Amino acid sequence: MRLSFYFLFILSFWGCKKSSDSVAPEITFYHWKNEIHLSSAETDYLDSLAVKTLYLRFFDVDWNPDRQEPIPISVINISSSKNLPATIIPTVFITNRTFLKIKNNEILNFSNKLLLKISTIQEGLPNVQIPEIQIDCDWSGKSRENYFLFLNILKKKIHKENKKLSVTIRLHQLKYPDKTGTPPVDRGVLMCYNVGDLQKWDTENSILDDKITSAYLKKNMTYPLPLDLALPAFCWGVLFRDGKMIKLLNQLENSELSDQKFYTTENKNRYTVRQSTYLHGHYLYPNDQIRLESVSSATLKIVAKQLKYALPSNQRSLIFYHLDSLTQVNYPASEIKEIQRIFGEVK
Amino acid sequence: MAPLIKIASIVLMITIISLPYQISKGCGPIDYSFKGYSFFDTDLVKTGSPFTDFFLRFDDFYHSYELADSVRNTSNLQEWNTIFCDQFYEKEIKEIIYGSVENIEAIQRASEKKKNKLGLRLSRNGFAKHLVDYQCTETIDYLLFAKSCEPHVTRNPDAWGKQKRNSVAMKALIYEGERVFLKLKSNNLKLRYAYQLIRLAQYAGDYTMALDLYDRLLPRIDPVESIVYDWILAHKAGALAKVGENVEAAYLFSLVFDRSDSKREAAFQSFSIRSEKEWQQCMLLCQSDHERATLHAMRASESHSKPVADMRAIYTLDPKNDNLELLLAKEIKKLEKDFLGTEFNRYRKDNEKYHKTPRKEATANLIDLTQFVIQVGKENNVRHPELWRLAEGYLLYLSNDLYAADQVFKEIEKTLTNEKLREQLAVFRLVLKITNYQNIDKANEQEIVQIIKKNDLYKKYPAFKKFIDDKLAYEYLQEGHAGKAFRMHYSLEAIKPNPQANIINDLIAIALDPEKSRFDKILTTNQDGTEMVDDLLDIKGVMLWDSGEPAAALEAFKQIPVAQRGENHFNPFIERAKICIHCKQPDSLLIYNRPAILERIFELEFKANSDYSNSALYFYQLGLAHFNLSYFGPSWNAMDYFRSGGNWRYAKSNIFLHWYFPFGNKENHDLSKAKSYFKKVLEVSKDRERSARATFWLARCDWLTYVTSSGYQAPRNANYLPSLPPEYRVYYQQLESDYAETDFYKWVIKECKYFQAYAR
Repeated sequence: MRLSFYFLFILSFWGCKKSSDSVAPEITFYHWKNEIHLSSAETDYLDSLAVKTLYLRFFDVDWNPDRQEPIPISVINISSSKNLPATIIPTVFITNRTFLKIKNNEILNFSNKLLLKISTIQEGLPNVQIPEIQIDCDWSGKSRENYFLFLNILKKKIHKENKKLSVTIRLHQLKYPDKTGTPPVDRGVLMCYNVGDLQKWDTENSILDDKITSAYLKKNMTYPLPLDLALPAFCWGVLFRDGKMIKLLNQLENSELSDQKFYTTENKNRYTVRQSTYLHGHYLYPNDQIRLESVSSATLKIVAKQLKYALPSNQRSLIFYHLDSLTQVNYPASEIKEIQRIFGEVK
Repeated sequence: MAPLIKIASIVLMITIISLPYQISKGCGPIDYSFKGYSFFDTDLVKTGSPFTDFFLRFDDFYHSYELADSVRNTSNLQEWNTIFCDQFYEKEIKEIIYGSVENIEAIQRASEKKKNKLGLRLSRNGFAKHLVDYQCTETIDYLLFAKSCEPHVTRNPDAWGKQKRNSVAMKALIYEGERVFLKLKSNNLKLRYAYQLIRLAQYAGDYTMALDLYDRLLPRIDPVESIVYDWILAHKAGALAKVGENVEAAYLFSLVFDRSDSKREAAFQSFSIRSEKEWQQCMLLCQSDHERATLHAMRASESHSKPVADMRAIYTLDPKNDNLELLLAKEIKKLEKDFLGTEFNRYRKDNEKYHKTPRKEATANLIDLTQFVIQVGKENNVRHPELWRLAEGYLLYLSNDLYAADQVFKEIEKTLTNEKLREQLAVFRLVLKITNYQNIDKANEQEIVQIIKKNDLYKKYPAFKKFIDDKLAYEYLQEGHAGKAFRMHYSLEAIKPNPQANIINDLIAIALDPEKSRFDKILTTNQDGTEMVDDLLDIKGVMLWDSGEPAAALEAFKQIPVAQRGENHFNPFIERAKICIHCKQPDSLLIYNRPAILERIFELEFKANSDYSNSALYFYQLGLAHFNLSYFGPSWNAMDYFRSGGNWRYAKSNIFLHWYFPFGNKENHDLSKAKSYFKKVLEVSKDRERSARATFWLARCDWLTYVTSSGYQAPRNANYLPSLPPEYRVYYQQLESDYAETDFYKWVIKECKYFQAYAR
């Protein structure tokens, strides 16, 4: 009896030790399209990854120079809320110029309108929980004061509804919080994508480059906010004409550039147009150049390790940008789970 | 009178030449827009359509609902008036059509009763009165019906508000409208009902219904001439696109683009071809070469397009197509950015960096377009062949074939009759003339003065000023006249914060030349009409002094007549315990001008090296003087013209970028001279108090040198003292260890709180 007591006592300590080990983050996705209508393949994919939460882009906000006020654009159309996960986090992208242009005394009105718009859209999602609202804005030194004031007002309002406020944090903002400031919110999402210079033809991969991220992610970094992590799960083609980047061709894949009548390639992700043709609705001219950018699972794993090393923490979400018809093809659930396991044990 | 005119004209010229530009980086308003010239007048290709500008903008659309609405409303009102035989003023129709529903209801009530009782305002409206007098029930009912449709199909003026789309109510209106439609007599009203119903169906999201209504209602309308057909067509195209009939949708959008002013931009934005196959299919739908040419025009109008191949196709299909000239103008505008004056444009590097111009394939594009334009000019099939010949000459000019350009201009000069084209030719020839200036001599300069003063085109086309200034600046620089080149863009004030020897010496040489040309005289005259030479000598003196050549500086100052040497402003020889830049000096203080300071410095140096018993005093005064003359002292303005309080920091060679000053603002941070004199005090002084003071000044110099060095990092909290590395603390420690018994030390330990921190 005494022996079993000691065994249990030791076991309880072992259990305590185990609980302090890293726990794998919860997998979630951004949904960044204008229409909500999850296909059965997408629903199965989310189920296989036990996704309980979806970050849903509700609308963007930009400054309208004619009206001299911020206005919502590309508002989401909810054609069907069927198959959505139980929890939704409305996400709103706001352009930096909105906060550069808006007057200080207009911010309260703007935040009221924004919340009203969110609640109007929310009416179309009757059976989901909304515990948080997320704002995505790449603020600058000049817009910071207005942006932070807006966040402060928004936070106070949504706290009354027991909701939390989160924002996106870029890598440079993580590295230099003293210079860029810390947004007055409950949580942040570290965006580990769009790290390279899109405009330069020589850029290896503007979506994700582990050499660039390694320069920002150092061991045991601290940030004044609890951080979720966002990794890219998308591809695009970057179209250059006369040496200038002119368009992004979303979801462009290798196979679409394989016809040698129209394209030549010098290496795996760079193509030159040989003959005029249409691609994704854009007319291409001879000598146009296309840099095909995608992120391999191998690169995602390297960056995941960098992130674990830099920001060791439990209780966070790992958000993939973004959910579309190609996500489950290019990033099978097994690969996503492997990336998840890099952070810790899946409970 | 003549001298007065002469002076006035010189002042005017100086004002023109001296107008400042934004020029440099640094703190200030930086303009990243493209900076170049343009001489092609797009009015030449305007067709009268309010949306012509749409073509001539670059990579940019109006995005203005207001403009589209106003064009639509104007053409709609004109059509209503035509239906009623142009009997009314447009404003009368507008009051009813776009006025309140109450107006129409009042008209309806009045027309139903025998005794017409329109209110006072409406009874004065001819259109309202006509509707009542002639009991135009169908029209009144239509207007009321259109008003009831309005809330469902117009944009919510509150962008944040909920879009009020009630598809049940919209469908009910469609059924009601169709019922009325079947009983109508007027084809015009039938057409307008059809438009309302198709639009309602599309906005209700029932695209199949919209297409079905189109198919059912349109055959029941006898053809009438109306803009409403195109509006209906635009909705049909939109509905087709929504149901996946992309090719037919694109074709219909191209028809709308071609025919409807008010729907042109919207049609262009909705037009989408996704593949070569769709393009071919769309071409097959076209009924005429004009329609095929329109498809090419739409493709060529895309942002960043390379339109010459499409222009060739348009020319082959429909050589008189309006779009051809618009595309030509748009392409010439792009090529102007690539080639016009790029050799001498002073913003060339910024344009390359921020706008990637010249474009990588600009030369190939220029050759391609020139060949096409030459062919078109020869074949004489286009609407305005003379415009194409003019363009040929200009494109040859842009190709730098100045002789060939000149030949074309000479040839067409005899045949051009159109006044606008003749003016354009004169502009091109003036551009050519300016471009041809090389090794600019007095005769050239005289010609340029005449152009600036008398040529009407110079006044009408603002690009000429920049073009001439940049060209002359470039040529002067090639000829070694840095000063003249500088003056083409800047006033003398722009160089004062960091004077450049080659510019100042060139301008002094010109200013002192008794046989200088009239143009040179303008360049070396101040805006108030006075000669610039004294200012130039003063700047030279300051520049030499700052670069460690005080004797040469004094010589420059002394070339200025005594009366013109400036007022006495400074006394750098007095001591202040506190560093004070802008402290008021007592009225009783002896003050010096620039040469007087230098003379006093030379005197003190002589005394310090000859009167050994007082050397320490003189060295101390010299140390003080050099400290006070630095950026950190109250007499900084003797050795510098411009000081910014924000430059209390490091910059390479102490030169800080500034948006207005092309060479930046050089600050006099160097305290080495002051330090060398204070060190000499320590060597020769027997007075412990003076040595203590010199030690303190040395410590202060070290502190200031450190905080303006590249290695300095400001403390995170502004209230914290900067952490001073040991090599910069030597004199603080020395003051404490060697002079603790002096009165000065006791005073300083009481007054300077930070002293204790560094002394430790």
